[in-house]
Amino acid sequence: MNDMHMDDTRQMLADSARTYVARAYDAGTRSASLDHPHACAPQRWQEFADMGWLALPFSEPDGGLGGSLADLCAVAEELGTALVVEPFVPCVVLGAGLLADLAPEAVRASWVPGILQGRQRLAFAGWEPGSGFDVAAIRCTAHPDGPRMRLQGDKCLVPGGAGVDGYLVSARLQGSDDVGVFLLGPGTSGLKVTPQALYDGQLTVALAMQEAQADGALMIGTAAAVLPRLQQAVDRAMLAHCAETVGSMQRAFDITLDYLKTRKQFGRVIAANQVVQHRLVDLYVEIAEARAITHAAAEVLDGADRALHRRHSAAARICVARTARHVWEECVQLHGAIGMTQEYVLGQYVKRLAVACTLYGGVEDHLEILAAQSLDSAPSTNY
Amino acid sequence: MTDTPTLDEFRVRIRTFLQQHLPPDIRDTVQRGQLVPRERMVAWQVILAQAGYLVPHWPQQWGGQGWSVQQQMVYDEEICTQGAPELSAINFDMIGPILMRFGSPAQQARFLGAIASGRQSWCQGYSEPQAGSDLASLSTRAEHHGDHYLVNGSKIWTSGAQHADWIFCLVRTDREARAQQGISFLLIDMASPGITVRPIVGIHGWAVFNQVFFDDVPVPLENRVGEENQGWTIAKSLLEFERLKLARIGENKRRRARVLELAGLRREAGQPLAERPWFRLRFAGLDARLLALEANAARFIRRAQAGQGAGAEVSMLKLRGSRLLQEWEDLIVDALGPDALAVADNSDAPAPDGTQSALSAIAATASSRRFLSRGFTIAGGSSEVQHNILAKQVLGL
Repeated sequence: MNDMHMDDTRQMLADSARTYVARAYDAGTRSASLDHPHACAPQRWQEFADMGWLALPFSEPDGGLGGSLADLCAVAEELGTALVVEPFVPCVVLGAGLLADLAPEAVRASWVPGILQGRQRLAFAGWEPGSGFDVAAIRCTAHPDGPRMRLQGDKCLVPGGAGVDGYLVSARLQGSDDVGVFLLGPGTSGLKVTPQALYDGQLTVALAMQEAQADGALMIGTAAAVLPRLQQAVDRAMLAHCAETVGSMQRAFDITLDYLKTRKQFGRVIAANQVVQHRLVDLYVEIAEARAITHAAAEVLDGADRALHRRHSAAARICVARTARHVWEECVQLHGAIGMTQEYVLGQYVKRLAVACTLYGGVEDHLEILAAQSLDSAPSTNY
Repeated sequence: MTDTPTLDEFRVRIRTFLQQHLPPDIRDTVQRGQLVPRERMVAWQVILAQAGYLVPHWPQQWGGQGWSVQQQMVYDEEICTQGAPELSAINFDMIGPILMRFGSPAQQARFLGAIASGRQSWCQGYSEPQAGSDLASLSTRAEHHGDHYLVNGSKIWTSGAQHADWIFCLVRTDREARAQQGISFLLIDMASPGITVRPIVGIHGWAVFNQVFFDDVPVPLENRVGEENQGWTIAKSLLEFERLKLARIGENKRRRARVLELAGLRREAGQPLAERPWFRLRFAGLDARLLALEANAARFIRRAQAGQGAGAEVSMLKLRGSRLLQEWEDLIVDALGPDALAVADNSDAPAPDGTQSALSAIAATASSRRFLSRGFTIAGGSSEVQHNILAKQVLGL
């Protein structure tokens, strides 16, 4: 989708990602990545490094490319069209993004080269069983043990968390109001990592920590200081995930449109029926709006006006999640029985889109967030 | 969207102007949700015209301001949020631009200044009893009669015809030609002999539209715009212009502001409405869609700024903007619950003793506004027609 508003860098990133998936990411490649024990084929990740995508979250002084969230979204949207399995959003936008945003210089310096070269990945372990996708609902605790910190508690649904080199774990400090984001090596004592495959093929992990020893911390401070920054980083990843979802839904729509233009029933192609045409138009229009609000929200989050961040990210999330559900349900219906089969290509998109409606928080969570932006201060008529 | 400092300054300039010059009785009427009487509307338009704010989006040679598209959007937004009435798209976004593009120099000289002064009012004669969304099947005819046409037939759903000085009409000038090809575009003086206007009262209780009858109405040949039988091209270009405008973001924001006002004023089951879970979810759902509509419209605005045509895709803005307006109106009615049930007070007069509370003022017209809004998905190409356009011209079906 050409949008002339995209600046040149972003357009180049989108073009190169589009070319990459068309050239290098066919069904066989995807299936090999799904079969890999980490759901991340090292050769593909190396290609991501070669494309420069792994350098996008880091500033130029850190050795990165200083990419914006809008840049990351441009790549994510194209990867979404091919249902790329490798965890770009979880490990690049979220994992590396947290490192870039929260970690002190020395910690960044020790990780950035390995990440840029594609040798190391980080994953965020912030969500806990029973707490949905609320990053502030933290029950895991940390307490000092000599010079080290030890962590206690459970994390779940760590996206992209299989085979990573470090977990970024949020925890409350015992006996204080402080919160920290700690670094745990995957082999550290007291840490048990359990794979949790999702039904769309992506691999998350759950962490069980019993006196697990941390290697260090990205940030420790009062809840009031740490949580907003954590939320900000997660919101950025959520938007990149929205962009990826937009790419997936556009492709699911294109597959459906093509099918309906060819498949004949009652002596004519299915797409010749007005009722079908109007339903296709509804999907097309909703996808266009979902893409527009995602791009607009990414630009808002790249901007300085923090008061607008949550309002726009929540609005994008609501539109994308609602549209994703409408698209996958309608694509199945418009295909007919073939759309229900495991073998036909649409099924993979259906499952990705269905998972995408829930990850990072669903529609209802974000309706409440959006409502609070306008209704919980003194109600104001200013837009 | 964050404003650049200059855009902020611009907003302050417009806001200050509106706060200082918008007559309080007009603001009250708008905020009560009532229709502004014709003579007060003209008075306000003259104030705007004298300040250069009536047709700021027109080219400078016709009295425009040469504003950027963003400035134009800020202006539209301030008009809505400061309680100024919506300006007639028919005058300022339709016939004005049509005459600039297709009118003869004599027509431009005769009409554009009068429209830009705020004193001349137009209505649009497109739909007919047997030609609604299927506009090309219209049958009102114009026949040559010496140096003029004689027009016979009737137009319907003509908004504002009872107050209009002029009507622009699509008429059939060749009955043999294929549907779209025998149509011409005429400008007709509403004071012409043979014109009868019959107001039609809507389900909202207001007579906003009319049926207009033409009985041997003489129209000078010089009042035809463009060539004979080429009127469809003009009408089509008009429709595209119309659709871009009909995303109606400013008007959507006006409804949103009214909903927020209600959220603060009204209580339900001992709680402020703003705290009721159902209301929060409904509000946020519409708010998300408004932000998405605005982001989507911005794409078309950037295209327009880069000199690219909007194309058939722009139909999606009309489709979504009109639907969203209806849902805000529904939310207002639902938020008022039983208080929106009483027979509407559609009188033009302000409350006699000035004691009407803000809440009862909104309640008095909420149901009428909601009924009125059903027309938004019918007029200007119904939603079903917009679907057809998108299916055919964008999806290639």
